[in-house]
Amino acid sequence: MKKSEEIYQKLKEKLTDEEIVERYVIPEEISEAERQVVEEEFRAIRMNMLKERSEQQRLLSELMRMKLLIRDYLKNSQYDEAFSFANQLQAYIKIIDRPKKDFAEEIDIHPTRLSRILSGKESPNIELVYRLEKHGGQLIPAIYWWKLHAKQLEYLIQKDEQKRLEESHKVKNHLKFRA
Amino acid sequence: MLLILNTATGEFLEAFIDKLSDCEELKGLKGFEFDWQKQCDYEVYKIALVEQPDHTLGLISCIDIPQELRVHVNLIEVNSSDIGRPKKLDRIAGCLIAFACSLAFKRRYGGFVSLMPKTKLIDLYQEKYGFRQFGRMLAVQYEASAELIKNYIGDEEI
Repeated sequence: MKKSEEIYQKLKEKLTDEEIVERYVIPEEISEAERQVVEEEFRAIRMNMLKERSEQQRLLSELMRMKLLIRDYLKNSQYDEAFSFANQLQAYIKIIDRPKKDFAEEIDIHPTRLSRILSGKESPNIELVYRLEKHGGQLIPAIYWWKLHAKQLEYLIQKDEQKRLEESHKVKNHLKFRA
Repeated sequence: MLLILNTATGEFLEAFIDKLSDCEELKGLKGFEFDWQKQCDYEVYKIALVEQPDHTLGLISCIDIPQELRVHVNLIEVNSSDIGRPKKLDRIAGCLIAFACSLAFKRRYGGFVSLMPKTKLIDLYQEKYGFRQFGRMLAVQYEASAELIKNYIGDEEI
């Protein structure tokens, strides 16, 4: 008896097939010649699927990829400029393949404001991240967009010494403590 | 966030998945029937609870097939000590399949994941995880793959 069949029979003594499916993916053991035929047939089917891929499927694939990469980034502690809010919004617009003017209209903001956000001169607000969530068919949650912005802000607060100095000059009669 | 269900308490436990880069880690694993060292040529990942990182709950072996834009799941096994009857922990295999789907999206494969399970179990994999049959193989992609990620990995918790 082949190894995986032996294990399957052993499992069958304790578990139903439904329970096995909830715990295992046991590969079917077939001869090398059979495997080649199965693989060849499957390759042809797969290549055909790829040829017939629709625009909707391309969009879903790219947006899911974007979402999963953002998720990985947000779990990571390091700030990365490639994942700034502006750069990810730029990437989103590229995926959906819309002129910026049309996109601004679709999310109901002025094109000038969109340009300012994309250049990092203006920050997003809560209203905008809800609109982005809706625009992307709920694939990328509003909280992901917001956390991209928040992570950038945290980085800037920690690193922007020039701004810290500028702002400190505007403060009068500040409290003093001996450290 | 990966969530494993403790069926005794109804509580969800946070889990993580790590790639095993050293074949030595697959030597003499307790609670596993298959010889996981035979999977050394492939990508092998383990799933464990955050609160018990050294206890491997389950393993998945994936084969990357970039020329066909797919990730093939070669083998999944859940540690037998965690799957008594009635099982103590649920959703482990589902989380591992959903993880394979996330790899397939990140690699620009449209979430395409294939399996070649035992023939008599094919219908059950279709019912449980939404796979579709193509000859002897099963596959999941696009919406069905995204749905598995949503169900097992979740959306909002980051």
